[in-house]
Amino acid sequence: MSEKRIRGIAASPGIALGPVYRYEPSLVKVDVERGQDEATELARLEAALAAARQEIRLLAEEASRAVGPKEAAIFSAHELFLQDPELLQQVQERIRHQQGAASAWQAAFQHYIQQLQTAQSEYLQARVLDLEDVAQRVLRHLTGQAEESLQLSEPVVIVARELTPSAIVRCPRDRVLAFCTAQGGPTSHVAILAKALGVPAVVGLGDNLEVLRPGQLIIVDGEQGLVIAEPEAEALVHYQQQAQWLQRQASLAVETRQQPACTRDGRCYPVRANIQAPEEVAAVQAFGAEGIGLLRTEFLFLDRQQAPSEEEQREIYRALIEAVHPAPVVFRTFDIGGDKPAPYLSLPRETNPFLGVRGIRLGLKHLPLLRTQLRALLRAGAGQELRILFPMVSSYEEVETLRRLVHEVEEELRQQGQALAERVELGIMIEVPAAALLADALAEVVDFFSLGTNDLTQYVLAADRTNEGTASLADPFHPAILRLLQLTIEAAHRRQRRVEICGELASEPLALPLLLGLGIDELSMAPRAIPRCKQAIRRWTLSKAQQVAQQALHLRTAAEVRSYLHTCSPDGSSPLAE
Amino acid sequence: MAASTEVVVAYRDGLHARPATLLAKTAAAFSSTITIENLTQGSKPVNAKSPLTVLSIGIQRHDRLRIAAEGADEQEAVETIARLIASNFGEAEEAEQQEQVSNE
Repeated sequence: MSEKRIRGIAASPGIALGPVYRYEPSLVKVDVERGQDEATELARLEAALAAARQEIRLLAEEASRAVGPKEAAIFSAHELFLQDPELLQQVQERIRHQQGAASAWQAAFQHYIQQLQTAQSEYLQARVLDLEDVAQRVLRHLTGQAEESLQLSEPVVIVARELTPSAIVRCPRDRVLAFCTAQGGPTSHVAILAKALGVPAVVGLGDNLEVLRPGQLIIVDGEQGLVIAEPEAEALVHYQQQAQWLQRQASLAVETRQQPACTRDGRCYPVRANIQAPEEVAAVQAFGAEGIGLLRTEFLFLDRQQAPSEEEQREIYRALIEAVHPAPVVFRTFDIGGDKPAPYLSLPRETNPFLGVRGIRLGLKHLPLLRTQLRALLRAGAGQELRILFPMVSSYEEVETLRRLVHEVEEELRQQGQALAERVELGIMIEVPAAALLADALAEVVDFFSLGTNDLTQYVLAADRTNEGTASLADPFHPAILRLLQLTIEAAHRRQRRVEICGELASEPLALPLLLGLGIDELSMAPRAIPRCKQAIRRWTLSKAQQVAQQALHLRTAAEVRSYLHTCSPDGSSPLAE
Repeated sequence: MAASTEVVVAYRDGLHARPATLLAKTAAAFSSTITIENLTQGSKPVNAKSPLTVLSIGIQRHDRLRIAAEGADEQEAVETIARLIASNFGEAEEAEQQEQVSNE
């Protein structure tokens, strides 16, 4: 007996140990058949559709309870597929030509499935499962075959070639330890639903999955995308401890989310929330954020025929300031470009919107729009400190122009007798490589930097994160990015300027020692990620994090950085970088 | 008379299941015939009221679409659908969901 390690894609974090349950539902397939008379077949179709609709509604309710309304929306899509006018027309057409309802349905649906299978994007290909889920549901009703339900008598790891959304939702939550699938990628339903359910998952295991036999004990490492069959004692003990440890950390994080995040050697970090709609302000407090570290103001400017008025903006900004007071709000001026159309601006078509007129470039081109926003912000901050952040800065002149503009607007408001912010801090996003390289000069003219590591990574590595072909190149752990962050932070600190990070990297547990060690002053992230980040900060010491960062800066590849970080432990309690 | 407009998809994953069905659902509320054409990929105009069709023509991020309508409410139909796409389907373009920590 020897241990087998199978690599897949880490789709949902966590660790599980348990017996394999092979889930192999049989697919309903019908031969082309001649139907009875048209009226009978149409009535059969109608009855099957009604029954399927009923089932899908129940599933949607279950999903909404289990994983939340956002993920449950998958099933409203399924319900709409049943009513698709084009599809129904094709099915009816086939029935009129004497086909039986089941084979007519199968053939018509197959057309759409085939089209999606040839789609270029992994995301669209992953939606084939949605269509198959719906097609099978109706076919089962037409052929009178009952849905196979999962009868689980003990907690198991579900191992399957693929899992439809309804199969996942119907799994009894208390009996499922983890999901392993041969197919699927990071955006598949398994990934999305497993994360929402808090169940570890490894997908994309391919044919290697076939070695997993029913009942066999396996380990699923959802952090690293690894499945271990027939584990030896050493791996077994290691992972048992890991699983217990992760569970303890997770509950601790939730319990302590409202407490400050200080390292063991006493350095405290504000952890704030990134938000993009006023409704999210409730989440700011619920997840223990100390204010808003990034308010994306675009929500006010898109989806409308006219630009928002100064008064409308002022009211919304003021309400946000009051909602989180005395914690701060960092207002980022609108970051609109050719890819986020605002009809009233009539933006020209750009062949490459990411290198086009966006962020502050657009603001400086449409000056009245930016002036109005600045007026609204300065007035909203009346009597208080106000933080304004400018996106997409790439030159010193831009910052000088922006500063002048803010002063002009302040002066204008003062002359008009308006109450305005007592102190204004101006910051810039560091997302264009030029700004990072010029950080020492830019630090003279701003109060703080905010590291937008998502865009910075794309621009430094010349790789689009949303393009499957280049997504893996756009790795923020690339040593080139780390060196640029170091350069920026050191330049800022030489002038006593603050550096915040609001990119996704901020919420990556693996990156935390790097960020702390490089000298980040504040972190901002999606509200949900905050409790865990705060808990992770509490486990490190700044001096240990500095050692880790120094080591990492000398590595040559993103893979080396990642595997090095995986070996780093803050306090010896666990080798996980968590 | 017919109405039409062009719009660029900013939604990060293109028109996958939820946005595609939302678009079809919105289109279905109008009496006009409504078509959607992917100018970037050079597809033929297809029925915007069919979620399966909208999904299966594989609309991706940065694709330019032409929305056209003909009928009593054509102007409103075109504007409403263009707005829906421009607004990222009412969902702010957020990075992937962070994993769930809190069980609130």
